[in-house]
Amino acid sequence: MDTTQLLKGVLEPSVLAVLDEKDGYGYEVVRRLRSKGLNEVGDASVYGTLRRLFQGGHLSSYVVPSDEGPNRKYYAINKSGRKQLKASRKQWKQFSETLDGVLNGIGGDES
Amino acid sequence: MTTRERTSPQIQPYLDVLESRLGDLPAEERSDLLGDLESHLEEILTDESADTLSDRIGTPDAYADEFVASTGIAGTSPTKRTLTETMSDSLRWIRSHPSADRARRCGEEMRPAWWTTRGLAIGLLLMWNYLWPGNPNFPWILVSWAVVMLPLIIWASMRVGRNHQRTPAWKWLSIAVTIAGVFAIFALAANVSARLDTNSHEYDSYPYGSQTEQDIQFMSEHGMSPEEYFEGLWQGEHGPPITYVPSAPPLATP
Repeated sequence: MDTTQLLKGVLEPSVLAVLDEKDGYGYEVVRRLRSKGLNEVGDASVYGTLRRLFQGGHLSSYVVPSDEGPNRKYYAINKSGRKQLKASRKQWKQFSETLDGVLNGIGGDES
Repeated sequence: MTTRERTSPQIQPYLDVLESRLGDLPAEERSDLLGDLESHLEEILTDESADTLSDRIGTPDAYADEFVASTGIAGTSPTKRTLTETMSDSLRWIRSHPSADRARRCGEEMRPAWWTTRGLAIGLLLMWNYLWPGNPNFPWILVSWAVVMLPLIIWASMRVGRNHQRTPAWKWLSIAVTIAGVFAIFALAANVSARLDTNSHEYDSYPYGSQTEQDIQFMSEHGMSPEEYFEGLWQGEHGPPITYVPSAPPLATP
């Protein structure tokens, strides 16, 4: 199954969760998501999501000079972001349980 | 931050395409976003990998689409365009084409000719019934039409044409006159060809408008439509007196 469509809805909480562990810059966030198994995550989607979360006030940012390349803009989750993450986790738990039921035929009128 | 002059040639297309998709984003936000993206892409480039940028993140177009979609900014992504936007884009392209310019100029030069033609057609159609010698007022009404009304109608048609861009009312008037002109030309053509037909074949296209009193009486007695009646007449089925007026009266009564 093509997971790129599925990813769209859950990218925002995923990015928040990654930053909740540790601050990170754009490309690093992409790499961390991929190392966690989201191999098909697109760079533009992650970077766009970072920008949106930042514009929405869920992230703060700071610039760290780098020896090898350009200065790095680090993103850090803030209070509003944590609140958002908490809500997303709860929502996801409910949704995944429901969908498990639907896909596996548990509950309802199934024997 | 890296300045634009030092931007890698691999990165520049991504910035250019994205910039074209940013829509009405305020200038400050726009430059902030592009500057950020440039550092971000440079980060990807300096990552130890032999792949080109497009191998890793896709084409500039796809990248800009994905980015705009995920940021939720009101970008001008081509995938989000409505049909009307696409159509007006195509129209703009057609209009900007050099031969379109030539055609437009040619069209503009032809306009007064069209205004005259449609005025003439409308005028002729209105006076159609007086054009033929069968009419009792034949010469005078024709002369007054030709001398007074026809020039007046042509003048009005040209005036409408010249002013068509002034106000919406003029515009609608101009559209109405154009439609009337086209209609008049077709109606004239139809009337002329009917008349030519009448003159060359006698019965088969005998105009229904030129029935005699006997014809009408016969039809009403037998409950026939003019089509049935004249078809029968032609076949010789019923025998009312066949009256044919060589100089056919008007096609339609005013």
